[in-house]
Amino acid sequence: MGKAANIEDTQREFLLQEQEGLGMQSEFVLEMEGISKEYFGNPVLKDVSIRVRPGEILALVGENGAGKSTLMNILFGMPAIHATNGFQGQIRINGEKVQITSPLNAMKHGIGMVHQEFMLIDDYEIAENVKLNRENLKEGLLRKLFGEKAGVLDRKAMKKETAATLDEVGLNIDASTHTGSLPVGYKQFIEIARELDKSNVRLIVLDEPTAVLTENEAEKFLQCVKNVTKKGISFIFISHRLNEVKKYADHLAILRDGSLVGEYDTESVSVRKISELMIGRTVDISQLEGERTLDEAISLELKNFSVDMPGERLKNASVRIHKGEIFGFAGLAGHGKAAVANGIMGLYPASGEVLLNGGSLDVADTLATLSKKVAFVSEDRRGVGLLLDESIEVNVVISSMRVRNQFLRKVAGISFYDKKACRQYAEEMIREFDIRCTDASQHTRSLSGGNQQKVCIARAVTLEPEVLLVSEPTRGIDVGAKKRILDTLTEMNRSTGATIIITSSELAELRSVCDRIAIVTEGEITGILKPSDEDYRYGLLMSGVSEEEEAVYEDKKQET
Amino acid sequence: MTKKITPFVRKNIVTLLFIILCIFTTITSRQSSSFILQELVSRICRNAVLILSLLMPVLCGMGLNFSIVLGAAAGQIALILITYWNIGGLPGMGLCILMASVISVLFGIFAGFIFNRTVGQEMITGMIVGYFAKGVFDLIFLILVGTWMIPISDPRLVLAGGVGLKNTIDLNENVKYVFDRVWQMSFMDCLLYGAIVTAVFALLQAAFYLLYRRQDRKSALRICLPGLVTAGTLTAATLLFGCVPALNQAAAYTKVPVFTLVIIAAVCMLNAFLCRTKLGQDIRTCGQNMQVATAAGIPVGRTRIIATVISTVIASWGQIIFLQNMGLINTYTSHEQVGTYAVAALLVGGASIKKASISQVFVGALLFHLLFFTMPLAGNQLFHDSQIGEYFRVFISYGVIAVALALHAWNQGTKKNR
Amino acid sequence: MKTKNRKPSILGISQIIMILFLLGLLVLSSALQMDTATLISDSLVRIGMQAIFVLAMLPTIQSGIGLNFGLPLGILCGLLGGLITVEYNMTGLGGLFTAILISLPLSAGAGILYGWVLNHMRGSEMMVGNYLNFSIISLMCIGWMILPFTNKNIIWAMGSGVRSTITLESSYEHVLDRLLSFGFAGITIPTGTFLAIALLCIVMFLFLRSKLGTMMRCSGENAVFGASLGINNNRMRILSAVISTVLGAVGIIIYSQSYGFYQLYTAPQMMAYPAIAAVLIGGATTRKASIGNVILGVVLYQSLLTIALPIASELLENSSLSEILRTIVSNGIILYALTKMVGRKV
Repeated sequence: MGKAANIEDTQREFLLQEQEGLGMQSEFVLEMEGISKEYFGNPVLKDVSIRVRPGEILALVGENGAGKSTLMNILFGMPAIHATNGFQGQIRINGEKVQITSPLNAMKHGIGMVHQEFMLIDDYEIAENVKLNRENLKEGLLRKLFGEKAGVLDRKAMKKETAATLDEVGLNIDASTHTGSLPVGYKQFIEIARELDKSNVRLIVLDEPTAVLTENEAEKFLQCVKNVTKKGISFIFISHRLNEVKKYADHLAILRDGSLVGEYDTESVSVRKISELMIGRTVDISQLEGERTLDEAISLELKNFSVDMPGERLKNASVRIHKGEIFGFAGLAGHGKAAVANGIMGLYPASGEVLLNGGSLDVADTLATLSKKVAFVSEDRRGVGLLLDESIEVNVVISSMRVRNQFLRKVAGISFYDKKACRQYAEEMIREFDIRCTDASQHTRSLSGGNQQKVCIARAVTLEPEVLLVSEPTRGIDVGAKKRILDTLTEMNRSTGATIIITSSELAELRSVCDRIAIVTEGEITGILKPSDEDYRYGLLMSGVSEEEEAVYEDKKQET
Repeated sequence: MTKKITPFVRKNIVTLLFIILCIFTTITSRQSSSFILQELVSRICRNAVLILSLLMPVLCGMGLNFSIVLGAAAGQIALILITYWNIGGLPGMGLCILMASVISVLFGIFAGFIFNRTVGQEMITGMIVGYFAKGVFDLIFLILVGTWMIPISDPRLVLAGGVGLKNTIDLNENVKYVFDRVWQMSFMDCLLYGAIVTAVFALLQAAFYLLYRRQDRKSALRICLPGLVTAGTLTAATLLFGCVPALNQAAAYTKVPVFTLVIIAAVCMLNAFLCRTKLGQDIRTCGQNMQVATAAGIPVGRTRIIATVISTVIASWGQIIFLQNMGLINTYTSHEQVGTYAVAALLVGGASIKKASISQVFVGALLFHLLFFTMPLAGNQLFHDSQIGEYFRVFISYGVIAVALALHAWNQGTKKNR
Repeated sequence: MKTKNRKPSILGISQIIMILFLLGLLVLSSALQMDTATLISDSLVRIGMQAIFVLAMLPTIQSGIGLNFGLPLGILCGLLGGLITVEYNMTGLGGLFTAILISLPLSAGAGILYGWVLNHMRGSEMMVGNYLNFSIISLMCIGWMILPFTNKNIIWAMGSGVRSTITLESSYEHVLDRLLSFGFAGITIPTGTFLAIALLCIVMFLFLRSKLGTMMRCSGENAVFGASLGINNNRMRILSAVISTVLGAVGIIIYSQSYGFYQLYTAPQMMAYPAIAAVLIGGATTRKASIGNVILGVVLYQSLLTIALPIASELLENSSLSEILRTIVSNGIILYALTKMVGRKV
């Protein structure tokens, strides 16, 4: 017995030596060690190490911007990484140190990816999609003469092999079915089948695979993933649904602000603990101003408000926001928080009711909304928020010109752009907001992110709004400018009594300025918290786990 | 029943309209059936390859390739060269096709390179590339030929002043109609033999799959079904032309250039073959979704250039077939409208900017060219002025393109709005 | 991070090179002992003929439609108005203005329809505009044949239909060119035409400066931004199509008085192309253009061709050279602009 084991050991060692040449252990299919990465001097990953064993599911959890996608981009050798001076640290696959230079290269190392948006062609048969760019070819004279491209597709073999792979993932469906006719739930399976079909695949990254699935479908899908691991294939599973993570992952790694804050066996950690670590004690509650007594009057009320914004759908949101309140919308990207402001401004089709000061507001009529003193600063600064090829001056005055007929000069009954007034006002704003620029005629395209944002806010302020919707006010902005922008907003709130509604992915920031914060998860408002509420409650609401569910978990654990 | 018919009508509205229009103009033109049949056969043979050249770019998602004008120019250059060198006959034509192919590969790479920089605007770019190429062509052959740069002084080619090619160049006797004359047959015989050959082919196919491949009857039948249907249609046509006296005469007198038909069939088969290769699959993937193609590691830019090159090369062959049938070259205008007419014909056949098939090529060629030559005649009968008909057919060819583009853009727009 | 400051500089490096080239050509022409004064006069006339067409490109570029390949729609309306005045033997400036007045409602109506169609064609405006233009030109060819004109100056002496060129000798040939015209060092200046162009440019300038014009520019530059200000982007685009079409109509009437003929049938088909090339030469792109681009463009393009071509013909001794070079230059420039268009690349 002992001898046999010994032989096995030496064999293994020998094999390992052959692979590695150094005789190092390769207990892990993937090791990423000491990974650090900076974008333009901003550290986004700090000395992160993760390991994945063969046949294991490693869950990667964290808020937006915690560094999950950067880590995966490094693993896939995305061009964006190499274009920004690469990264520090090393990657080992089966114990062997590798340089991953491109996504194609990653594929060659046996790393596969299941994309969040389906990379499938609807008009193709399943077999064609599974075998995309790896089609089986028949032998033939032309192929020998002109190379692979002249080879005729062997559709029979493609179907046969695809059928076998589909079988592996437990999808009982004909390989010649049209992909477009499949329900969404099935498409995810086909993506997995495509990765599995690659002969050398060892590790598959699942990026929020269950986001588009119903609970039932998700269950089925994850069961299939679990089955596949029995063949020795590992998964990195990125998900915000902590109960799924808890149920299916073997290990989990928690990222926060670019650092690894915890690595656990899933068995040994509670959902509550995970959410706490995810959110982290980033706010010093003692620093908070303490609760303000809010005006009784309601400034803005949403009743069953739904917005059809692609990628950010909002369903049946109902909330009352008080006059003079600073109200926050938090939640993960893609879960619908961004739809609130965009829907109110009529940029996407919306249904339900919006009441402004008790009167109903027709959100489709943007101009009317603006004239009722509702202003908006878009989260998509460069796409929606600015005219990039126009001057700061035009960008600042344009809204008031449109809505309040300011900055115009009437000549013979026709309104003309009042160059002098505009310039004067723009210069005033540049001083007030400390916008760093050459002069008011500079195009906004060439401004830095922070200064662009100041221009956007200056424009909104010019409208003298009673309700100001600000989305992602500090995204992509350096620290100094961040503080300045937040201070401006609070100052404005305190001095003019304007209601301010901030949508942000930065929870810490919201907690430092808001009176109340609504959490939007999977298109619904899952709860409204105070900044002083415990961290884990935020985490749970964002993970789609209600507090009651969590209680059930805890009970079960105590029973066992 | 109406539920089935309405979508069919809506889908094929352009084609159906043209069928009605064609019937109307054919009747009002009051021409003999033999004239119409003869014209039709020769026009389809003349134009088919040019229209076929449009298929690959459509498959690649680049829309209708208006830059086949480049291919046509390449074909024309090769023909002018063999006329100048006095080469002819089938070997001469072989050389001509070879030269045309080489030139059009270069042209195709040029066009494909530009298309890769104007993704989404390939059609307008293709059109402008065509105009641009026409300018360069004119510059070379009208201004530079005969000067010290291109010293040609053949009086058959060059204008009396010694500079520039003549407006029309007569092809040599051994180039004129060379493909057409290799093997001609009356339309009647053609139908008859065609029916026999396809029937035999289908039966052999069935036998092969039944006995050699040992497949069951049902799948064997399915494989040979297209052949059988074609054979059946041809037999029916034979009977029709044989039994109706008016048609009988027309069919007996109409000459069909069988060898040209064989070339057309070969190009069709080449096209069908390419679609079944890995290259064809890559082209299709690029056409379906460029992002998915890129993610799967398909070199999208290269594939698009290859599709353009294939299209340009086939267009150059098409122009050679076209001109040998005409017997002369209109040096500065022959290639000018090639793109417009080929595109219009394909669209009339029921193709769209996203989808086109070989059968649509032939339906389109038939309808468009029938309309094209009967319309002035019909105009003459109706208004005693052939000019009106001529203008109307120009309107039709531009109009069908405009409508097809508009329909496509409209659908895109509604999709986006949703 | 791109920190390139894209200020609207009308005089780009390529424009400066072209101006230098133009000056070089002028020197060369006098060295070749050609009649430099006549060359300059000729180019002034051509500039006067084309300027309004180039100006017509401005509104559509600003509103986001892009280059207006459908300009001949407006030209057709102008021709119709012009023909009506010739039919009723109107002459002189009165005739000219009547022609413009008649064509205004026609072209405005056509512009509304055109804009409405283009609003459903986002992303394919240029291609659709172009083929719409081609098909309507060919439809109008039939129209010219059957329209009930009776004036002998208009219809063919034999047969039916309108002549392909209608002389304005007896009505209003050169009325604007000769208005207040004066000679200067052998150069004739078509003052009236230039005044008309200046007037239109000023009106356009004022329009772009007005609230409406500013909003149109914003909506064209960033449609979502426009929507977030409650601007009706579609209406702005229709407005720009109307202005462009009206300018096309006015443009052809002024063009024709200078040229001396109304050209019908397929003549207007390609008239958008030189105008497009000119505005692009002036430094405009498919998304951005200013009055400066228009003026510089038309001056450079027309004078380069008018002055360079006789010189080239002198050197190469060929008369058809000019038309060919015109084709190459204008299409080459459009092609270049298309490849520079903001869009996906592979």
